[in-house]
Amino acid sequence: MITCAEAMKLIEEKQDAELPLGSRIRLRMHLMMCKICPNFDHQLQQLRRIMRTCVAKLAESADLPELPEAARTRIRAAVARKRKAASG
Amino acid sequence: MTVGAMTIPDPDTWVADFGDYLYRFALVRVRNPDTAVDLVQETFLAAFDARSAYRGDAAPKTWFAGILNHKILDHFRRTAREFLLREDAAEPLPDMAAMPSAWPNNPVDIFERKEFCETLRRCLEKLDERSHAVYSMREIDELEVEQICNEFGITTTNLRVILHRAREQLRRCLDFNWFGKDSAK
Repeated sequence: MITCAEAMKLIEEKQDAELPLGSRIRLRMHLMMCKICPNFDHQLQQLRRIMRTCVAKLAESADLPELPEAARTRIRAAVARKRKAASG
Repeated sequence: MTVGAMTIPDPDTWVADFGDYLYRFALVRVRNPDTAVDLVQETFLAAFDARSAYRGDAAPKTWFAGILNHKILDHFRRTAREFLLREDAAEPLPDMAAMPSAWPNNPVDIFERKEFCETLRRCLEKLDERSHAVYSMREIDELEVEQICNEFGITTTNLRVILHRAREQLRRCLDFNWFGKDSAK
């Protein structure tokens, strides 16, 4: 039987790569009998989900700063230059 | 020429219509405002060159965001190259000393709230540059472990340590700032 420390290490590893079969089985058995490690598993998966959700959501948020005026001008000019070069 | 239903809007309207969205998107990912501006500019310029390739199957906004994602990944790769030159002793994986606390079983909605995302964003900002780049490339860009190791010139063990620490930091930051728990350590 693996310890919680070993289980948590495996839980983290499986976030990033497939575990070998033996480890997968040992982890599954541990998770069936442990009250704490399933929380860790859940949290890591949650963290990944919310990271992706929030990144998308924040881009839509008016609470974040707008593109600064100076930057707008500069970028518009760069696109216009490109356009001119393309048609000239 | 378009295949799908949508066409690319006139480039003269791009900054006005998509500038803020792309800037905010970049800001969340790369944290630095000047870098974010540069990436938005690169995105629009690349989009101009690629506009004939637009198929109309995704909304223009999604199309721009796709290009921006590539530029963001390029940025992290450049960051990785800078770190490649630094020497780092291989650190052993630390023990998982603190037992993880259970996050309350919140309805999915809590993560839909922008205040929560704002808290998460502030927690993300606390990561040091390399940890942030590594974490982003893994979690958001979904690069494989080997790919990230190659970019940074680090071993799998190094990578695991960096990811572990980043995740720990984020979990604790959220525990403390959102769920109102005091860190055990």
